[in-house]
Amino acid sequence: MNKRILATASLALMIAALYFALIYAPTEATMGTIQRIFYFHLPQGIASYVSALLLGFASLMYLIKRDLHWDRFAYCSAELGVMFASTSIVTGMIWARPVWNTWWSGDARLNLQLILALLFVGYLMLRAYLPEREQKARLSTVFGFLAALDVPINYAATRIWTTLHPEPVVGPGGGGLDPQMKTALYVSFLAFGFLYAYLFTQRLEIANMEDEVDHLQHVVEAA
Amino acid sequence: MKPLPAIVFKDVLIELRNKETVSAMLVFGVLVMVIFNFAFATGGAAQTIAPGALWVAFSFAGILGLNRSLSIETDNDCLQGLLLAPLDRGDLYLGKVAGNFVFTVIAEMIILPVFVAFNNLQFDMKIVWTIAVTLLGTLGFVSVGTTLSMISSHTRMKEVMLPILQIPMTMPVVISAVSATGMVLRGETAGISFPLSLLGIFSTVYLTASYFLFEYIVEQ
Amino acid sequence: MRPDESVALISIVAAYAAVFAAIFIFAWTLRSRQKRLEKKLQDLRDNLRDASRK
Repeated sequence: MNKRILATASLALMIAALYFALIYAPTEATMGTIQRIFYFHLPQGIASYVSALLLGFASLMYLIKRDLHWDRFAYCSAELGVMFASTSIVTGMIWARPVWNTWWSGDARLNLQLILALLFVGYLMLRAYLPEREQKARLSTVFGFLAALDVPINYAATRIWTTLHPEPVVGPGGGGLDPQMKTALYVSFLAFGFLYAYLFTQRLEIANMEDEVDHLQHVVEAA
Repeated sequence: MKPLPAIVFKDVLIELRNKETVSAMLVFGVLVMVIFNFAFATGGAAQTIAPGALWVAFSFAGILGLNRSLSIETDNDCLQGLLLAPLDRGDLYLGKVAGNFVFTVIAEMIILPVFVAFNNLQFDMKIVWTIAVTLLGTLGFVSVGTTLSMISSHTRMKEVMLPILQIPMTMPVVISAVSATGMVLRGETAGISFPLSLLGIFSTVYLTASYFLFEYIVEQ
Repeated sequence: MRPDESVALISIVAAYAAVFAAIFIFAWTLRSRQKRLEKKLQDLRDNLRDASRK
């Protein structure tokens, strides 16, 4: 899809999502105005899970096809993944502080986001310390695939903490029921979807160029 | 001799000669327990964090052991020799896992009595169950660790890369093992099947995945 | 616990600002990298053309 179309669509939808989240959606009964953070917090969490899925899929595809295109694809999803996981954690903390008087609510989703962020960071660090191109692709894709496998297991594991700690209900709290809230959430999801697609396309383009620059440099040196 | 047992036998023989890996692991593990003992001197706090302290000790000692086990192969290019042998890559992986498992468990079995002493526990059935949880958790830890240590040995950071990769990936093991150990020690074993089955699933998934992926890691 | 409006509004502004800042910084670094890479690519291509001409 044309990059320009994605960029303008993302911008327009983001502005729309802001309107829907801050003005259109009714104020939630229990938590009040601060619940509006949720309309952006949830899509970011989903974006990080999607990134993990893409990372695993692309890593596997590289190991099968040995086409560097898949390695670049995996790399981009990891970068986007770490960004969205981090913002998800930060917005989660900003939400938790006034409501439950803690920065770290320690609930399952927050812990899962933390582990996910650390896995992405580990993947990126691994790539950074592997200078040779083929080795970088091969080893990081193995790790990427194993990391993606970890996500569902971590999902179950963090649930263990839920049964131990008193769980602050970090849920929609009525967001699933009220139709206006649902609309706001859908618009937000749409906005983040387009934004993700735009950032991913842009990032992939740059990754392609980096590899081409590398390749040409070798050719020039050989000449 | 069949290749897979041969690898385990080789590792055990090397270890019997110099006893470096197990001794380093158990000393380090005991030291971590000592730190926790002094850091959390009050009785109440010590009781609740005890299972956590135990698995912190196991995790760091385990990483130490994994790094040593791999450096035996990568120093002097011994790995090349292993790869030249008519050995299935997956079997090479399983052989290393078995060796790592044995050494880590030996170290853990020496760290455990220290744990019992510092926390004023008794050597009863609870400890037997703790050992069972430890074995299951160690299997998961070592199955991932063997793979990741092989990956990190190729990087410029070498052994230092292993904790960066290993700690996030083995979080489910630590979470489940600590929770199960806590349940055992408190005597409230209702619902212990959840963390235990999670440990089992983890080990199965990663042993299988690594078995097939190992050849991609060691190929030249 | 229901926080008062002022606290809630500040938190919302902070949260949304953090998100947009992250996205903006990310997109900005992408754009600057792209420009730099395009220039480098062009230089290399010219380099190659000159080298093959000699």
